[in-house]
Amino acid sequence: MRGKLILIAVLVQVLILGWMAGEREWIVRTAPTVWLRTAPVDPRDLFRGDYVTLGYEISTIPAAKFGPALKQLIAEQDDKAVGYRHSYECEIVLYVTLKVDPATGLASVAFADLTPPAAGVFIKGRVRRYNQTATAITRVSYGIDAYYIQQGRGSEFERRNPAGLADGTQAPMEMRVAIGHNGTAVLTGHRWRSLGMTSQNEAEH
Amino acid sequence: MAKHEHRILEKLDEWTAAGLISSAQAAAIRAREPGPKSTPPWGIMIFAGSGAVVLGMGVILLFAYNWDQMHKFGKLAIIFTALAAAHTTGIILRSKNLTPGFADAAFLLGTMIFGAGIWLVAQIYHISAHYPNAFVVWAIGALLFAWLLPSVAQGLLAAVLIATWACCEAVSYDSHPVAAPLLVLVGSGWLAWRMRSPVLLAVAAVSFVVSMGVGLVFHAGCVMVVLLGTTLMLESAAWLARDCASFPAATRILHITGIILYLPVLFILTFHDAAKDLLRNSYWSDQPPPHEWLPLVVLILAVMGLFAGVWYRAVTEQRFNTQKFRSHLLAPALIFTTYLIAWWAPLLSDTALSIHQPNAATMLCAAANALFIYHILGNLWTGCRNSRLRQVVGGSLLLAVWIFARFADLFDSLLVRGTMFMVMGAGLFAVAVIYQRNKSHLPAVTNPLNPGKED
Repeated sequence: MRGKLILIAVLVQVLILGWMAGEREWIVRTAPTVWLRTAPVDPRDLFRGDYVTLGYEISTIPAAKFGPALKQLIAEQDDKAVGYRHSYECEIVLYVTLKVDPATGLASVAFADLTPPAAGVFIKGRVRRYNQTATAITRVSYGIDAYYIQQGRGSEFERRNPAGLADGTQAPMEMRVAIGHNGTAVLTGHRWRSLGMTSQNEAEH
Repeated sequence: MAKHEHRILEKLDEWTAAGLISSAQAAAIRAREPGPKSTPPWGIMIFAGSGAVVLGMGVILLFAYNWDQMHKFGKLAIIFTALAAAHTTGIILRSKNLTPGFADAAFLLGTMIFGAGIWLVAQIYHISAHYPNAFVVWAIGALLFAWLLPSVAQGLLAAVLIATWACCEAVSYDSHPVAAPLLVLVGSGWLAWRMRSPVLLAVAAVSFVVSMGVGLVFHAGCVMVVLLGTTLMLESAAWLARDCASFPAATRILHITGIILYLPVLFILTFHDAAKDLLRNSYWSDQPPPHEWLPLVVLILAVMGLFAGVWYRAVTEQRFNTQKFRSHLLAPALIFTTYLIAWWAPLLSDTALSIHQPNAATMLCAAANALFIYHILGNLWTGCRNSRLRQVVGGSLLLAVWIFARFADLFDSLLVRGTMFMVMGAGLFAVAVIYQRNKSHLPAVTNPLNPGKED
């Protein structure tokens, strides 16, 4: 009996890893993909080596794109009479519907609300209360904020200067993201847009 | 103790030959002392266990390199194969029952690879959502094996991981996992008790204290309630465990953890400014949400319930009038109760909080000072009377710390300061004399195996 339970414990560990990998792999293989514009910086993770932190354009959502439930929640939080019920650290889950430019594949925010939309491509995000204001929501996290790369390649991303591009030229970076039916996003790649901008300081050198 | 018994058995033949004892007496002693007990293979467990942990960390760091050339399925295949291989080795070694230490180490390696796998999958699929979850999932994987094998090493890993999870939640997300102390208590603490493992109990106790501090302190003002409550819980548990003959180390471990937490907290409260600031910060500016005050209420009720159980038992066994009960339990209970009164009494009054709050701080500070002095005198008195050097030194150190602290914040006259130092010096001198005199009057108890060495 004890031997069978130990075997079940082994299976539990294998299944947890399998589920983690399998869910993401399923999204990568079956879900629609969009491109998201971003700006990278290069920190290092103790367990996972180099990665690029990504700040997306869609991480900032102006109030004009709030859905009715989200509008009501933010108004309630700002209300002094009942606002104390919401901790400043607590997170809310958002469903951000995306509109995709068919020519470039680039996605931008159509609107955001507390429930998933009936149709269309949407992405699930989380945001803390202190990043929510009546005018905009900032720093929405979609669980795709880190792009893991081989150790030593971080600076190329940080400088936004891929191979083949002149020194001092910065290329905008875009991430390819597969989005599952429940809004879970998985990073599947990146591209450098050809339209570059030269940094004046470096050009002067 | 077991070492002494072993040495006595070794010396029996020598004593019989010297005519000190008869053969019949030697046989009677042999029959009474069962001889050295079989102990777990600590050498294998420590070295193989450490090897497993280091190997697992190596796997994590190796994959952290994140080779671009290796396909993601290759990486996944390696991690799944390594996980299965480690656990299969553990199962085979366990079924052959040759060296349980090696089987434990193999399972521990498997759990380390499981942890590495969590980070690797997150790396392959660029998952960055809420990283502390990885620690709690890893801890649950370790707890499964800790209970099923059962294994001290897996329990230790789980206790460390749960504390790490709680700290990461607090530091990175400013959130408070209330479940963390419960998970430590049920997952590692209970297992330590069942396995009678002092090492696991000690680590679980520390992990419990950390998890309580991180998990329940939603607001800076409630930090003292949580810390004093945790102290009282540990001391109550130590008291309840004292009659358990099969796990005599438990009382000492729980008491030491409790006292290490209690004395600094009590010392902080002896400063009037600290007591005033702590109390001032204790009042929420608005009504806190239930998820913040409910755990505190549960903690206070749990502490009270546990202490009531200890009190009932001490009264029925007529043990409540002992120095240990007063020092280990009544004193923490008194300061805990005083803190609660100082916290809540001003709120219940009709007049303004600002009028009552300084009085409450003075009351709390006076109580803390009185209890600190009580611990000083108690240690010195008991230590001198029973010739216990450790207690005398402890009491003297507490006295010195208290006098130096008061030197700065209480006495504004050089005359008073000078007098206090003279009193302290004379007191310490008197302690030395009394200790030495009592020691020389005590009947000489020497170890028969090492004459001249104190037993």
